Amino acid sequence: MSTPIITVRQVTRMFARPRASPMIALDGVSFTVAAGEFVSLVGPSGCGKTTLLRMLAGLDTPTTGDLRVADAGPGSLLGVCGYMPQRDLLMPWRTVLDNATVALEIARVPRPEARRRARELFEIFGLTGFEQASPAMLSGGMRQRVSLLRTVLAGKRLLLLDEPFGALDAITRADLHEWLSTLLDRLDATILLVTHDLDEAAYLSDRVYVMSPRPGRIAAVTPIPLARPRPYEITTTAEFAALKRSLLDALRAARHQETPAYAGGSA
Amino acid sequence: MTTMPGIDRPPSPRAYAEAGPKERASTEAGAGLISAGHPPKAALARSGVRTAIAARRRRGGWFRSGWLLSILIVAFLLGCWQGAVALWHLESYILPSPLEVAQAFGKHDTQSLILTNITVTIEEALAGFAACLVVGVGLAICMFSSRVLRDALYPLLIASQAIPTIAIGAILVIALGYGPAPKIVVVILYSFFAVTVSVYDSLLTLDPELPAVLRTLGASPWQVLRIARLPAALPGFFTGAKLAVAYSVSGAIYGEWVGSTGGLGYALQMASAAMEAPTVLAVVVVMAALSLAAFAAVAVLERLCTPWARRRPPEEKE
Repeated sequence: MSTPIITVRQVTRMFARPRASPMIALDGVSFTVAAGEFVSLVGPSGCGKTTLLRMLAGLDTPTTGDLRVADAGPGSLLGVCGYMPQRDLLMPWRTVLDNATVALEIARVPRPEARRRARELFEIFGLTGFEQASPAMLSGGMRQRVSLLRTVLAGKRLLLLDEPFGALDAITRADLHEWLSTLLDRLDATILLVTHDLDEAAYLSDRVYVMSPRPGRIAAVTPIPLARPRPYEITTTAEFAALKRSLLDALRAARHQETPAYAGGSA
Repeated sequence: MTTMPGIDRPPSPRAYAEAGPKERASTEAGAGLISAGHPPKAALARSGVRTAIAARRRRGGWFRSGWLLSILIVAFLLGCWQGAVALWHLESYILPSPLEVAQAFGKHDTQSLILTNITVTIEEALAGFAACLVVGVGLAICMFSSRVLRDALYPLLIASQAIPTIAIGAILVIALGYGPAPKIVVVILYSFFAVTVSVYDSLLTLDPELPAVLRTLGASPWQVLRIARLPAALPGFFTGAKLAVAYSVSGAIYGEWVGSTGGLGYALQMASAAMEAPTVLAVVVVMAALSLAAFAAVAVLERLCTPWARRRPPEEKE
């Protein structure tokens, strides 16, 4: 494996609560992501996955511990990674095209140039013909693709995706998994995905970190040795089922663990 | 003559503001027709969009039937009024009949009285309205940008609304004279609160995740304000502006009524001093029409500026 692009070392995050002891969201979390890798963080709601991603995006800071991103300077991590939040957060007063180009607008790229760059990607993102549409006219799946396009157009090597398909129905989600998998071959990006969907994690990732609930810890790491490109049919193979089973076992074991165990689980 | 038409305040700005953002959920729910996952066939999608737009246009029906009903209500009330005057043989100076009021419009004296005075009122109302927008938006941004300012200003603003403008109208005329200045001050006192509260509330209701995402894309606070906060507050601004413009006309008229040498409020004073009851009511009709026209103008501007936040009446919710 090449040099890590993300290094998270012993990160702990506590949130103060009124009239109660502080809530420990993350407890001594360490992991790395190598350049070009697709890594997923899987865990139940409330295991601090989103908090971790927000810290990497520069929206939060750890109580103790250390987060490093290869491209970043010594200061804030804001603007270093491309961060795609759970909800699409498209702006209803802008057209789809103007929503997609907002990162370029922020970077003061001239508007014709920004639009030209966005239009080039509209076809790959399945959005051709919707450049001037309002986001309200799009389906949930299309809105997520616009949101991803907005993130990709920021031009960062590292993308942080926070449950991007969590709000979609199962059929649309499966379609988008397959689409994203093919898109990845064309994008030269490193991706850290947060999800609670084991199919999603197993199908898309090179490695999956399984997290335990409250306080969030890394309970297990499972490599996914499936060859790429991955046709969607592999999700029904015995090999895939076995991988999913090992993730499920790790997830269940993590829930009953009292002490942190990094190499534990069944990986 | 004890009460002034148009001085009573409409319901709180909050009632208006709450009617705003609810419709978005339904538009999103209705958009699931277009398939996701594979590149959609543009032609199919466009025809789908067109059908949706046509359907929305067709729903304009409620508007027309609503108008018809309100005309019927007015006609009924006017009929009762006319009937009462005829039944009890009321003298014109006690209560003129609707027909006499209509005839007053035909008289040259009434026409010139209205035409010479209406421009004064329009100028004062517009100047006051513009000033109240500046004051209202300014205060909202101040309150939004600093917690200390918010805590300091909010109670004062609410207290300011407890002061009856009628009580200080006379003082304002003494202090500022018979010119347009006291009218503009009255208009500001009347209407800034609606603007401040609606703009402030809509600045608060912006999903905090949107500014967060923009910051991860490298946006400065100024860029966040320009790209997200101000456009998001625009529907709230128009809610406030619609209330304020209606207050502006009645505020200007009230200011004129207290003391002035021109304007519809002055015309009202002249007509009632001369015991010209039909003319008084004719002027009142013009005042109401002016308020309506001002409100409609702002509503049209709102539709043009915030097409994404189209407000739909409750029965059309899916």
